Amino acid sequence: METKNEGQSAGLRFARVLVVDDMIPIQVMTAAMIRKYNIQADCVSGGQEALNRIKSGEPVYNAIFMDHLMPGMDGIETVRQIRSLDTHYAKNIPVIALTGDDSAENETLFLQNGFQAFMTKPLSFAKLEPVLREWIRGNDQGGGA
Amino acid sequence: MMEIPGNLRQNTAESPFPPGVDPQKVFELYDGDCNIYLPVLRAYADEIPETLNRLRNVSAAVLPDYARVMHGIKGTSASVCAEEARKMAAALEAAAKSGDITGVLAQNDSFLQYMDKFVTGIQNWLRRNGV
Repeated sequence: METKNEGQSAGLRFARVLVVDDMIPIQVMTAAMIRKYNIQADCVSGGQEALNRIKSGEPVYNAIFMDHLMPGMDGIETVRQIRSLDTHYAKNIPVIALTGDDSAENETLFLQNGFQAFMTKPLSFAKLEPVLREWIRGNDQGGGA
Repeated sequence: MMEIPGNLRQNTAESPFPPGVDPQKVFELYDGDCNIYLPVLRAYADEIPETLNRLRNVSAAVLPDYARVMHGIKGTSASVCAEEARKMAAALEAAAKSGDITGVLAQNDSFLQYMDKFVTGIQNWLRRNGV
């Protein structure tokens, strides 16, 4: 029998997202929750790895879930560099911030720096599902590059 | 109803999760799905010991890095529904961000002692339950 999450995920199939977080438990949690919607989720541990994935253009992602504070290149800088790439894909891929701080300043910070939305940690299905519905388009609906 | 794997149901006399983990929060965050929660808990138990080792020699010079590490511990502790660990990490993150080395030094050892015991408890629980 189809579960609640699987039943509601019919419109999100074939989508693929990139999860960027330096903390492995957060990668595991975020990816596992996303996969319940039949969405593929790849994980990387830092901004440079994420940038390299988007530069390569393979695979094509429908969205990125990006941690804010990471060692080396943080989420803000990573998105800045992604948006500076000279492809329609890089300039338009939805990026959702993952942050441990819930504040109005954070919302402004993310929206002014190339993010489309943000979610506070810890994630939950209640937070995740509306974000997936709004920002993830399956490949068969024209998402990606 | 919470989907607890069959082997865990044997522990009927105690919380279905390790000490320091809030079962109600697990149910709320994970919709009771242990197939998602337990791998996260395992990843936490695997990663946190190495992270804690980076906090054992704190000084004023490394406070910014200390704050970032503590921010990560705060977030991951919330992800496994470990409220006490989260609160302690949040307090130390705030102290480090404000440059309060005295405050950090006053709390760091007790935090590390708590976390060492907490993570050992998780590892023992995972082993006992064959996870």
